Amino acid sequence: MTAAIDIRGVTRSYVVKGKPDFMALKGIDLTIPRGEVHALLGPNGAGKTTLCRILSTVLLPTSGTVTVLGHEVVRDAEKAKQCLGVVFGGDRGLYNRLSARQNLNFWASLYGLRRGERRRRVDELLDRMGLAQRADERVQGFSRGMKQRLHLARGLVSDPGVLILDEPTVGMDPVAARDFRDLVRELRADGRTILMTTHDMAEAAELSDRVSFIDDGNLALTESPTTVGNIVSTRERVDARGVPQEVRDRLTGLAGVAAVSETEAGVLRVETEHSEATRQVLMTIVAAGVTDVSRSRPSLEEVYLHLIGRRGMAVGG
Amino acid sequence: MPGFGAGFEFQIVAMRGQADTYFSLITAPFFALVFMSIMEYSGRTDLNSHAVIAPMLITMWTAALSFSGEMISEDRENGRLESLIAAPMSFAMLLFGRLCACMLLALPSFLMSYLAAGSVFGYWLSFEQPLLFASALVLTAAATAATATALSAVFVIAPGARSVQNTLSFPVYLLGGVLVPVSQYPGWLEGLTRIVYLSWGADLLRAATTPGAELENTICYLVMLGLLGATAFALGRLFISRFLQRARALGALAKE
Ligand SMILES: Nc1ncnc2c1ncn2[C@@H]1O[C@H](COP(=O)(O)OP(=O)(O)OP(=O)(O)O)[C@@H](O)[C@H]1O
Ligand SMILES: [Mg+2]
Repeated sequence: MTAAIDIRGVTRSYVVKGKPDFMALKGIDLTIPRGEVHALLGPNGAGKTTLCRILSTVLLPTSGTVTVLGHEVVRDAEKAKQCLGVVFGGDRGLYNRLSARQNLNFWASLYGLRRGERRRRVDELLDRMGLAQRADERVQGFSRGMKQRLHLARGLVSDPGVLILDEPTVGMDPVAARDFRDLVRELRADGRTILMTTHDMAEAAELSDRVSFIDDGNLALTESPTTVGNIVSTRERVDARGVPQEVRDRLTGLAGVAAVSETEAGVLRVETEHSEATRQVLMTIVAAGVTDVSRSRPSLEEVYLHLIGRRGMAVGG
Repeated sequence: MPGFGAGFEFQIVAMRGQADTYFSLITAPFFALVFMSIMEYSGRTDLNSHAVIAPMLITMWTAALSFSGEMISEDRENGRLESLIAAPMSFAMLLFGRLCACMLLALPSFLMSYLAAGSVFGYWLSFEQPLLFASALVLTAAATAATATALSAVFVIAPGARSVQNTLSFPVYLLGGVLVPVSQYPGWLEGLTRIVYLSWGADLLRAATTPGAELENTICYLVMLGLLGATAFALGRLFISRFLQRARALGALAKE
């Protein structure tokens, strides 16, 4: 079966006045099978939006090829467009003088939906996005999060098999963001493929089958969020709160315990070399009457910081 | 043609909610009255139909110029162009559909001119050949929209052209024989007017509403009007595909 998205050797350079061409993508290879939710992570200016634009046919790659469900996005753009739903989020991109319903209706007609089908689909999406109450108000007066929901609805209007979402939850409140996660799970259950960029590590960890880190135009790593922690550490860890000093000392002496430390948040963290040691650690802690205890893996955020480095506010390029 | 239908419908919805769309219409009945008084004063009441039809053609062309000037750049500046281009339809058809809908403004303009001439000067335009009138009207509107499609691409490829946008009105009225039939012009000028679709359309519309007026070859006029409109659309499509190709290469679809 052909992959949902196949990216091979894609580079993209931009012409910048008075300077040598700027390489925003330096040779990306990535294959995303059908039905996968894939998160693209990386710092500002890494090239995420550039890649999304190439995938959605609105930007030509400088070299390399991209296919969407087998259709090459440059040569076969019309076919590729038909299976794609694209959301470039943000405050812009909508017809502000028209209502949410009119906006969606227009976009549905661009994808060739007939009148009756269109009405049904638009109603359904307005409802799904929680915009039904305000469907007939001008978009002009919408909050950022509401606009973002409308963008999402727009991307879904043609019921596409492959979705490209560039920062879909930016500006959303926590409830809307949770609804978004439910939505992505539903879409995934329908067998749709989703490529999304995000700066929200928890969101990426929760939703995606695999994540890719992109930095300075290069793909640094592609992994599943559950095993990606192995990059930072192959150790197992136990986190606990309120462990008495005397117990801490005992833990340090156990065989197979590699390190005992306290995190910034005041949590005792015990790292072990194998699962037998983990068992011993857990038993010791619980026996001391401590119940606030959990096993953990390095978070996606830790991996991100490890890979991308603590660059602070500096933008690469 | 999902692009055409979508554009046509969209533009109607968009214009409906926008009062300034209709401002240009206010001039139509006044133009009609000015032209009528010239005809009356000079004793050329045989040209009365010109006075009623000219304001409608002026409305069409004004709409073509003003809408085509903004159509692409407005979408680009508001960050919509990328999403539009990512949709599986012909962008040229979308523009053409939108501009065809803009031509609907000619109808109220015509109605007001008709009523103004009738109520003030007692001249009621008579529809001698209604079928010819209707087909000439539709063809003229389509050709105007097609020309506007080409212009919309020109304005975005060469933004400098925007500065001559407004100066394109009177030369076209003249070459299109909007008020004075081009047959009244000196021979060399008349030849030049025949490459302007409007000159054929204006002649047809007047012939259909002037008692006893017969064009030598009506079909030939209709065909010429259609051909010039089709040529304009073909050029428009070419310009637009050039523009899009270039913008995709340069990354210029999303202009901040
Ligand atoms: N049209 C353009 N012309 C010149 N340079 C561009 C253009 N578009 C993007 N770039 C540059 O390419 C690089 C990658 O930009 P891109 O928008 O893909 O980053 P991103 O990963 O989406 O960042 P963010 O997280 O801030 O959205 C940036 O350095 C940017 O300045
Ligand atoms: Mg971006």
